[in-house]
Amino acid sequence: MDTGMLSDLQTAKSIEYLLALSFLVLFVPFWRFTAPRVAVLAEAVEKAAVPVFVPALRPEPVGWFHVPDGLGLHPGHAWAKATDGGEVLVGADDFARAVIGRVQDVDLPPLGTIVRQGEPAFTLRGAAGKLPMVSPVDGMVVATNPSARIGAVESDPYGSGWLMRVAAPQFKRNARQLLSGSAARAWMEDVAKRLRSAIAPDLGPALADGGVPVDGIAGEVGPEAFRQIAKEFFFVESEGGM
Amino acid sequence: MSEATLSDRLFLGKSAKDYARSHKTPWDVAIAIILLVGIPVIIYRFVFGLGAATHLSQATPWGLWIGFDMLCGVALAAGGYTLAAAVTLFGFRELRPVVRAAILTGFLGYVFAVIGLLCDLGQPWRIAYPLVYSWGTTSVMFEVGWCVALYTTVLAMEFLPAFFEWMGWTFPLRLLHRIEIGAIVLGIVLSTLHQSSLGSLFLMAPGKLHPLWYSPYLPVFFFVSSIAAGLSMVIFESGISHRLFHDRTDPDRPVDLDRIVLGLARGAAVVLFAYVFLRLQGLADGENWHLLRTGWGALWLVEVGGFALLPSLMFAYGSRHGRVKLVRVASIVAVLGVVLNRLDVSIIAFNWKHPFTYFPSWMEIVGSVTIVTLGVVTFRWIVNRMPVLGRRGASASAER
Repeated sequence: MDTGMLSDLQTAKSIEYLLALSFLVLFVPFWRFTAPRVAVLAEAVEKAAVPVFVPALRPEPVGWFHVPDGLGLHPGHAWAKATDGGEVLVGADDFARAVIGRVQDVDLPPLGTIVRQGEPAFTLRGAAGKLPMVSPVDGMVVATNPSARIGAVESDPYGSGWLMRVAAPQFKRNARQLLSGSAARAWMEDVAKRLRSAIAPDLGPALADGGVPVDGIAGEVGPEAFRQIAKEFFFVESEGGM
Repeated sequence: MSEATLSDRLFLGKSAKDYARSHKTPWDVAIAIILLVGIPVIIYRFVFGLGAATHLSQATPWGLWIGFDMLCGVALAAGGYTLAAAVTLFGFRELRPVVRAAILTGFLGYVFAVIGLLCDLGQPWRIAYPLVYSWGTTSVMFEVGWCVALYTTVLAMEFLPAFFEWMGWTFPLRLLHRIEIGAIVLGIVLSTLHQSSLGSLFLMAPGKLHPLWYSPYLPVFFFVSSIAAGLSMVIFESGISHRLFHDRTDPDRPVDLDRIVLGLARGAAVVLFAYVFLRLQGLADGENWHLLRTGWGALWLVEVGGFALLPSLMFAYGSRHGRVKLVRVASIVAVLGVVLNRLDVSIIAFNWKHPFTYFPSWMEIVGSVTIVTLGVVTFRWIVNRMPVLGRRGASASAER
């Protein structure tokens, strides 16, 4: 191999190494650039110092369960309501309250946790077991409600029983997946029908003729049925026992 | 489900007469015209041969049916294995709502790519030869043939649960669930093998393919670009499907499609970014920088710069700022880029030194349009009936 050829080869190889190196150097910043911006979320965390007090909303009863106006219901039975500060309050709906019964504790995510719409975010603990619940919005948890742990979820699920406050910069987009107003009421009626069918399939509509379900359906139906209810209505796997 | 008769399932709960009447839309008329012209053209090709129907010759034995229907069809069908791998192997469960549509797109992409291939090869009754009677184990085509046949079968198995759910057959559904993971892993292995081996085909023709496109890395280029093509097709197809077939989605489980699309865009941005560097590496390896100053170089720059780097940046920007419309536009650009690349390699830059320039005959073009139309019609027929986008049920209120 003469010197000229060797020099050409060295040049060609140098360019190849340079390209490979450039790729490695550029890849990490490029990957970071593709990530959704988090500046808005970080600012929201700094802003959030004290949980806000929220007056109770006035729920309208729909069949077995209450559905208030002015908030969005996720099909996984969590609700979301935008606050004046641009954040979103999140809680469990009346159906979740009826299923779990007396809430012994609530596992809430630590502040700063990123939650995703439709993915498990918090857990209600009742006598029959644990019921993980999905978040109705995307965002960062900026506050949690300590009074939720001492009975507020049972007594006022849509008001003082709120569970967490979330900085949700994409709430407008998330809200498209939430049900409100007449659509929410129609959906909740359908949920009640499906629940009747799930807990007593043979009886069909007969159960609808009398009374309302006991609080703590999970404790009455047994672990297997509880698992089925969690899967079908909450899109999660329940855990029997404490 | 069990109460619905076969007729209800097939005609969406209408009588056959009402069902036929509901198809008097401009789109259906356009489809009917394409099929009325195209199917006789395809029959003509099988009766009178390639010479009568195409502009193919000894010098240019591969034309539009290989370059577009086969190579582009297979690349654009890569969404099936890409999404299956992302959800099942890498745990991106949030992508699950679009997996079934991606697998259906992949399955139909392969089926119609094979139909395009058969149009080119002729004598479809001899398709069993390379699979059973006459193994050509030294040929890349042998590997391609086997991989495509096996992977199409695997895709059919991956899609069968939707069919069984539609028919209400629970026993075979349970059986399929047991082998689901195995089928998915097999599918991923097979598709990575033949996506790359389609590129390997052109390693046999170093003198025929223009140096800007020829590279020992061709199999890698084909494989990596197929991932970008698959992700882009899922972004493109899911947007259209969820708009056109909105009543086939499950209202109880609304899908945040925008979030899924933005997640896929991030993946596509990174894959295309890597692909651009690989193409540059191929250029450096062949020491072909000087060719960029030629007309071929301009075409190469348009392909790599305009249809790979540009959509990569568009995907990245869209993902960062939540710009879903930009991402959808980027997906179209990226899909066109992969189509351009496959046509460059198989037709445009192939035989570049040859004095004869191949341009497909009108029958080849009509044949290709017919095959694509058949694919779209089949996709629509299935989505309107089977639980592909979420809803489980025998019928929709109206066919889209």
